[in-house]
Amino acid sequence: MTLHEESPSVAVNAEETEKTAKDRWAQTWRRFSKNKGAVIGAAVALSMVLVAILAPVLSPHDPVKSTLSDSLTPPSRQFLMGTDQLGRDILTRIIYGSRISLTVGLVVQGISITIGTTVGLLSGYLGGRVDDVLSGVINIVYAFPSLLFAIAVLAVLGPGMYNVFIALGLVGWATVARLVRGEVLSLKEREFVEAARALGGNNWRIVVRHILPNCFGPIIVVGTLGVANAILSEATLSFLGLGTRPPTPSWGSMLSQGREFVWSAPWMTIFPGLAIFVTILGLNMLGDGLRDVLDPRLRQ
Amino acid sequence: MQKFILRRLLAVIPILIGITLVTFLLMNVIPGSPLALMIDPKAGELDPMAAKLIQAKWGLDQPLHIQYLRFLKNALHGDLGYSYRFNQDVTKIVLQRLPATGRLAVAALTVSVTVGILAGVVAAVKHQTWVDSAAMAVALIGVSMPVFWSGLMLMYILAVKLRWLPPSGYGDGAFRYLLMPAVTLGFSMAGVIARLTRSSMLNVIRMEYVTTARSKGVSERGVIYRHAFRNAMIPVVTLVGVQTGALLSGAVVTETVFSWPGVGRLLIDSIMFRDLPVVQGSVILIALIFLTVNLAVDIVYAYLDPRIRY
Repeated sequence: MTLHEESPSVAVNAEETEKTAKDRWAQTWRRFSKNKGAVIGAAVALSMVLVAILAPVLSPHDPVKSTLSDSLTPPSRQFLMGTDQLGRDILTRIIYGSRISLTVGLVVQGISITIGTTVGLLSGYLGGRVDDVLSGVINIVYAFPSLLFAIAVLAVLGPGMYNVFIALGLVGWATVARLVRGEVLSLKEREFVEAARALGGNNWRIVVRHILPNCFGPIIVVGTLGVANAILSEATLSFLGLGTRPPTPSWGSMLSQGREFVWSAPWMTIFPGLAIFVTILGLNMLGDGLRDVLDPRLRQ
Repeated sequence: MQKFILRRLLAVIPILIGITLVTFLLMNVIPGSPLALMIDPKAGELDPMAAKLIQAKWGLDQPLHIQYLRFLKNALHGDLGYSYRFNQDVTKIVLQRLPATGRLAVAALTVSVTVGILAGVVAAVKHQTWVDSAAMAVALIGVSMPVFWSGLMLMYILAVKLRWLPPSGYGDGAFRYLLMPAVTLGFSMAGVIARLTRSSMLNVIRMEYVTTARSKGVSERGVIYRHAFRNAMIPVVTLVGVQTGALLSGAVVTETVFSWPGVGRLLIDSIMFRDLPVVQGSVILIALIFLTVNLAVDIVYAYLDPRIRY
């Protein structure tokens, strides 16, 4: 239930509308702060952002420069998480790696949400032929195993961070489009949309002012889970040697290098993997929590 | 029912065309001519005459849509092209690797379905107790753990430290070699299945027919297994179908971690060697398996739930 559902009712004046909107925000916030998972997840996500921004300040060493005399040092006071085969500090590289992960997560999800929302809105609202064609495309992209498609794209384009953006963005939007289309289909039959139309609102206005804002909740939930998914995909692609190229410190490629040293230097795999795991866990908890908070169907 | 199956079969056709078209375009348009990929740049430029002859031989001088149609026609006859690296038909190479991937996938699916459904049902039956929270915490961990990391950690603990299992390889199909890859891949999917099973069970338990069963004196065990469980499984079956995509993608990663000689590792190796015909063949084969499994799941679903056959 949002503000827009009630806006057409005759007696509501602007001041009252504002007040209910504020109430709703306060209510959402209360629900959010009571949801333990969501709060922990938000804390993890926030610390990741901070670590990424403050990387140069937090890092004890240089992320790229190799010091061969320090190679494969186990965790010690000087190198808290040990060093890799080139003598680079693992902790430093994990800190800098958060920048790659965060960038990939946000850019890919930005692309997915933009394309997905546009296609979903058009398909759902216009219906008819347009919907037939668009939902056909959505279903084909959605049906294809996304990581496999990304692998195929990178096989052709070659490894690299920009290519990862393209590969993951090309497949990620279908999830968003499906969701938005479904929301629009049910929203456009609702009374408040009918009322807006009766009051003379044109299609553009109805979509932007009335339908889109009501899709924000689900989009935020899917977007959060999508960021987790994009980060995991980038790590996977880098692990397979198709993502970010060395010497750029990406968590996935660190693991890929560490794999060769599992016997002699397990810290090379333990810590970068832990970084991925905690990040994904945090974002999943945040996404799940947001779903509980924002999804009207789950509200009592 | 037959009508439903027919309609689902027809719906696969555009998807198949879409997938082959995209794969074909990817492999043939963007990186320049496939010819350039056949020749080691270090060996110097190819004589233009020879280049023309080779292009004519492989039909590379034809317009792209003709090339695609021929590719499609050949593919329908089981011919996916020729690997310059192996000097063999792509179909043959890919099919050779299929059994290993099949074994891994079936084993992983068994692990994930058993663990996932069991955990989900137990969590739902013990709703809002510590058992429920513990099961869901483990499920969330399973969902969030990257396959390649959990695989490497298992390898480190079970093979390097405890020396219980061989670290990697196929071992001529010995069960000991299958164990770690199957558990790694299976656990990553068990979490999703457990979460859905739980919420589906909780939904069903609230239904009136479950209350009716209880009130007519069916034992709690009977209520859970005869009435709730069977109905709760309907969405889970669909999920398992959708998860095939994740299973196959996960297999690519798991095979790479454990040096398992399946289609996934073939795909990644072929990318490294720029053996694009094999890349194309593996992608299409994996997509085909995915579509077939989904089709099968849809049909099973229609049997399980008569409401779906609209």
